[in-house]
Amino acid sequence: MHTNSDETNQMTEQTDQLIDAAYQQRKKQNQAPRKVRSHVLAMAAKKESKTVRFSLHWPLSAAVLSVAVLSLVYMQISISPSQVQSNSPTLLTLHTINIQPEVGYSKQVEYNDLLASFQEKESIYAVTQISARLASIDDTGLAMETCDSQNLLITDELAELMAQNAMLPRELNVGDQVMLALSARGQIVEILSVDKPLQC
Amino acid sequence: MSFVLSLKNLLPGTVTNEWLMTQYRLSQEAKYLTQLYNNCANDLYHFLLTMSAPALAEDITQRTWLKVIDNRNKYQVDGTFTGWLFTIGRRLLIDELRKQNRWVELEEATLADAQTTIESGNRSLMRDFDSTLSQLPFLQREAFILRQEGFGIQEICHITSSNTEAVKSRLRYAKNSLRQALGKYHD
Repeated sequence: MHTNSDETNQMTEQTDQLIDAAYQQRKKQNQAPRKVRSHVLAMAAKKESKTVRFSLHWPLSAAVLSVAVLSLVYMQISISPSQVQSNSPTLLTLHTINIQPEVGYSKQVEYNDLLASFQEKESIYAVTQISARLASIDDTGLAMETCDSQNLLITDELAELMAQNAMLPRELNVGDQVMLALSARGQIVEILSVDKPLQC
Repeated sequence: MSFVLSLKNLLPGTVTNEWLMTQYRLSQEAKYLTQLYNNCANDLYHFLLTMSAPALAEDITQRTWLKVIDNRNKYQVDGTFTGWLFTIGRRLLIDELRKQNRWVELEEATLADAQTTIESGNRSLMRDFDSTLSQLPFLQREAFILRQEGFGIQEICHITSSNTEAVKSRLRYAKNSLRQALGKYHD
């Protein structure tokens, strides 16, 4: 009785292996047509080229505007204590906000258009950047040190959340130079690795 | 430490589809979509092909990826990218079948163009597999394919908007039919 049951299970297992093998074989024989790939990737490239990349196409003439807008951001910056904590009480003074309008501008953007775009597009990458060096990684989170020797602490919970949302570099080591990108709302959008040494 | 664990996921060589999609959403750089396409396009196409016919599968595959491009900002990181992709593909397929008035017919029945009967003995394993698969009712077939693609029961429920018991039952029936058809091939 027991033996029959074992044999049945073994046969079922063997048949399931055959099913899996047949399925994989069938997939190999039926691959997505190349023309679909060409079309889809062409559309993606087209979308990419159409996208006004905020950080790359920032018009020189809008630099003044950027300063104005960033001043507002500076005043309203809201890295909340729940997001960023520091060992230093001077953390929230954020001395090291570093306005870096990009060079290589491709077109002029009217003030109103830019402002509207700024207000409407949540996808705007970042308008403010803070340079820092990763001082330590431990149980408390990521400790960073800015040019002004201010200490920023990205808590363990926040760092994990950012990692899950691909907002951190794939690899971070103590001593790495990083750039904190802040959104118009003063929230950390992303932490980027920077090759250049910290320049203060 | 939990963060150390999460950093392990960020090491080179462990780029996930979810990471790629998030990067694509943030940057709109085509290189991320290209990688996603390379990782998932054949799986999606095979699913759609099994659920329909070559021309329709090709059309829906293309439309699904165009939706991914257009709806990139709607992507939520809390689910798998493939789950999202297959959900879009399935919805587009069913919308198309509804337009063609084929959905009701297919919901519990078999594909009209796959009515071949299985003859024992003289067919190859692959032909029997194909034939049995195509004769499975639509919902059983999709549950089986999604399972083979690595989706868990809950994910299949989400993709197909079905409840757990229904999905389990469809999988059981599908697997039994295939076992019956292929049982004669093992030693």
